[in-house]
Amino acid sequence: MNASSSPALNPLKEGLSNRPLPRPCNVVIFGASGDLTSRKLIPALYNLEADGDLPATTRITGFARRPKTDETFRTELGAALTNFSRSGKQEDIWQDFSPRVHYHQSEFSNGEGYKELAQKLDKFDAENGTAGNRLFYLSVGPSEFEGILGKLAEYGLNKTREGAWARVIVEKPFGHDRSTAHALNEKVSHVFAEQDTYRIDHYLGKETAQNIMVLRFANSIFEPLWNHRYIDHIQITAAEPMGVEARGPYYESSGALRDMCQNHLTQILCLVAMEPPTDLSADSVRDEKLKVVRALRKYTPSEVAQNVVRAQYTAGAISGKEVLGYRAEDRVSPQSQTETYVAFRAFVDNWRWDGVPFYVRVGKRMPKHGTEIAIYFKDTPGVLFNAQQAGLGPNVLVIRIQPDEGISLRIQSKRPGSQLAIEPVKMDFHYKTSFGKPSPEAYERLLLDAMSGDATLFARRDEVDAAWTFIDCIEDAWHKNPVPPAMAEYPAGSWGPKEADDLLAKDGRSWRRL
Amino acid sequence: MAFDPSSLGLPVELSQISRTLNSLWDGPEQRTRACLLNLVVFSQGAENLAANTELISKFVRNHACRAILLGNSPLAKAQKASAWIQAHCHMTKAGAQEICSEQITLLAEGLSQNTVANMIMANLDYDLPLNLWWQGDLPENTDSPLWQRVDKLIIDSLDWHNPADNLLRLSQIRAHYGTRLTLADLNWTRTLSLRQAVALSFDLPALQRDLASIDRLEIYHAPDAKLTALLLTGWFAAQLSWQRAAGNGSALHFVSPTGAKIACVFVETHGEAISAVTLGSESSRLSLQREKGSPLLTATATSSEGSTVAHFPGGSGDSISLLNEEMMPGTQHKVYLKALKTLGTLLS
Repeated sequence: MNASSSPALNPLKEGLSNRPLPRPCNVVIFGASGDLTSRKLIPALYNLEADGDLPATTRITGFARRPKTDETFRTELGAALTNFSRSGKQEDIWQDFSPRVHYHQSEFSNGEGYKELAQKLDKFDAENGTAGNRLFYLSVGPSEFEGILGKLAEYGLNKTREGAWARVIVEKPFGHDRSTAHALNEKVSHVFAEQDTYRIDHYLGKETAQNIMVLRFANSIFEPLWNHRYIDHIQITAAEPMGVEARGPYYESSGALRDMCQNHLTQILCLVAMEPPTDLSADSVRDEKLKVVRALRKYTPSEVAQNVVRAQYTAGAISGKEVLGYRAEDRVSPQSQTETYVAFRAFVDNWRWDGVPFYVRVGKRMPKHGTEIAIYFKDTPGVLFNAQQAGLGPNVLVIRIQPDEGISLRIQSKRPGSQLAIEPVKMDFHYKTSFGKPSPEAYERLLLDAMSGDATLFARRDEVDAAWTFIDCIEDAWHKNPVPPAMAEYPAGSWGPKEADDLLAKDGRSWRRL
Repeated sequence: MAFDPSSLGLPVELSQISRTLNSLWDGPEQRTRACLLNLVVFSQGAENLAANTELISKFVRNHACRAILLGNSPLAKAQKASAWIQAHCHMTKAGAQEICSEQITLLAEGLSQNTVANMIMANLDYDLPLNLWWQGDLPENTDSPLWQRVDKLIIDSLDWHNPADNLLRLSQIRAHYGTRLTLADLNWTRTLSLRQAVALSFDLPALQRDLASIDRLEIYHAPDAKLTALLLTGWFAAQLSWQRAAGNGSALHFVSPTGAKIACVFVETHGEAISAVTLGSESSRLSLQREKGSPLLTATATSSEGSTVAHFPGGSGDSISLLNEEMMPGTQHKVYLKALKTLGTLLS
């Protein structure tokens, strides 16, 4: 059954479309032995169950190579749930939920495994009234995509009965550059239609990311100021204290720019910079985001040197413990030219953002964990208070994506007393205290949306393509240029290299302190 | 039964409510007060205050609020106003800060409507929306400063003793306060899962083709839930543009825009408020059933193309679930108002 038919065809749906209406389905997770399944996907599905949002007959099948029984799989997931579920693990809910979790052992290339999977899903459909609805989650490396997609098609798992749906969720990285992303998209599109392809970016599932549009378009005080006339510049930061951990080989082939900027930070930038969509349908929102990515100024190699800083962390200390430098990490080349930090100045060349720099930085081995957007408004005129007290500082609106999701606004206020002294103060909104309950995990929202057929928070093919076009300019300047810009260094536990500070300093600005 | 205020918290002088509430947050404990809305629960007499307190303690886990519970006994001989305060706290996860909502309980005995309104108004949290949950029959007179401040009126039409009278009062309230006041009927919410299941079932092409030629609607309802069944009928009629037609017996009759005659039959049966709904036409049939206590609705669709069975979330009919659902942002009322209008014609 297609949940997307309009009220014009089905007037009984009028007024019911404002909320996700997930249909019972079979969820199949490829790569179910991986961390993502136990840390994110199963806790998300469990919390949906706990909140009553998961249709009661939904079954989850983990597809992976390692031999395992249903019971072993459930036991492992149950143990992980205690650590990774935002609501902990309630035994009664787990007792209801876990029997609906299954394990299917097979090599990804083994046709017999898919044949048996199809039989298993048909059996579940018959038992549970899941009507043939299927959601495939590819929690595997990109090198496995083609093989899995091919087998799904070969065994007819991508096609389902009339009125039912089969969808695929694809994890990042979605390609290595524009051409590989294009090739990957081609492969996916041969098996699943674009409307059934959900390219997940978990940043978009975070409450604060979703709230950016609400903040901008549901509050009359911000949108009139949201342009080059009132905004001086914007800073987007994603910092984490973690190093590459066990992901050295992956990170070596990726780097901070591909790992974070092509997807998460570009998506965030789009939400900040986009024009209001004509409506809230998935394509209207994604059309507007696409316009932003396309308007991102593409740099020549010499402009890359002027506007982009790349760096690697050297030995330093995190949380009072000494840590290795990047090149000394496990399975990382001692001559590595992979960046663990990148900072750049971007421009969205359209009417609204003319001349407003977007400073973006992302790095590993930073002193603390935090992702945020800071909107710096222009200074007040240099008369009255601004004339009397130098350096009052601008108003800054900060949208904290993680952790401690919320919004704060820095304003100037008179310090109590007989003197006229002005101090910046913060108006602070915290999700967890204002609403009295924790935000759902990003994967909860995204899985529910995929089951409900709402692709608003997923990247569309042309968005991915346009984002790679922007990123490729930088990557090419680094790796295909006979005289590439130098790789800067920063000690682990610092806020990045001096060159990144200089990038802002030459514009008379500085990075926000987190 | 004697009134037992033990569950209502700390007794407090009316004039000291605000100060005493503030003192709750002065301690060194890791507690944060959260408040997004005012929820005033208006009930007759003192007997519902304990049950409403229990309900609020669950409600605040999803909706941080200042709850004001009022027990009103206007006919009491002696004039008296009593108040209690308490905080409902919960931790969002182990080791996290406690998040708390405040509850003020007021008992008004022998007091005028304006005095009661003043007691409530004086204790609202400022600049936050006011949700008034009016339990039981609606009042005849709603011309008070309190009503003028109400943003959302929550009712449960299933509690009405005389639905026709209450419907009239509701239309007067709507006429007086217009679109500023949002209406939330828990009885309407009670049908939400069913409406969603029906609506999604009609996405099946074979059933969708027959939507205009439905000729029979059967609703199986609990003996005390006839009004829920009628409201559901009002929804079908409003959404499918059925017009009431003369009829006889226990059935209601309608005519569709294509001229098809539709018979609506109501069957009393013990179980859920609505335990089953069947829609039929010459060539197809949709049956939705819910067993008592089951979390699922089972939809069986039969048409010339065969038979399919699907399950849908059944929702929960308890007060806290209904209230939580009603407080969800984005709840739409346009469809409800259309159904309500049709309900008016069915009751007349």
